[in-house]
Amino acid sequence: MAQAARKLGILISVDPEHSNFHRGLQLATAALNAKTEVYLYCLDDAVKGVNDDRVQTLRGHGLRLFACAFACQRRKIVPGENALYGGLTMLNDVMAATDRFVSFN
Amino acid sequence: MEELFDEIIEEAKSTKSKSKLLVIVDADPRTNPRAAEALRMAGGVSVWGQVAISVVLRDAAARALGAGARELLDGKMFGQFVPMVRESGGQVYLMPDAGAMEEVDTGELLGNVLKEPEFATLTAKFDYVMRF
Repeated sequence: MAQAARKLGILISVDPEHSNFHRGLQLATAALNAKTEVYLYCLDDAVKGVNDDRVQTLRGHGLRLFACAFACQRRKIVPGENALYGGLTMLNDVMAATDRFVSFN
Repeated sequence: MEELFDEIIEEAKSTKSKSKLLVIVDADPRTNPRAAEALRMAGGVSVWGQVAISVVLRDAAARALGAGARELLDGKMFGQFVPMVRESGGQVYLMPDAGAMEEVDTGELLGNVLKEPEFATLTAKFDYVMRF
């Protein structure tokens, strides 16, 4: 019987120009390569990076991408189809339902 | 007796399944809106009861529990989300610097202040530690 894939939750809250944003994506890349399910939640300034090519490329490789709707509203970012937008209940689910959780702030 | 047994089992289940997260805030709320965002996140997640969240307000961040907290960046969030963390069973600890010590309400200082050794011990008790 096949074993269920491990689940990794990642929170990023910094601007896409910040080095920690890049580090978060590097971790996501490594985890996806290891056949881990990766759930990434973008909070605060990180919502500016949802349409970033690096993020969307990872999404194409199976990354589950979520973004804070409140943070988008405050930054006048119009939610599109490149991520699932929602409130902190989604972040709660990412934290509670994954095997490991890591944040980059 | 059966009810008591069920209660014990339920409690054991809920304690076992909950991840424990410590949010350390050291952003200065006078100049950085991330302090309020950190508390919004802590309150907004803890209210769902699936993750046990406590908060440490370090240095200038302790001003979030001061008399002038509403005047800080996104200050109304402090009054909204600090109680939410506590009502969900979490603790809000303080490690104020000298300036913040003068601002923080005396009632908040009683029983909520941590010293460095206690802080180190506390961090080891959590599954995850997050810093803003």
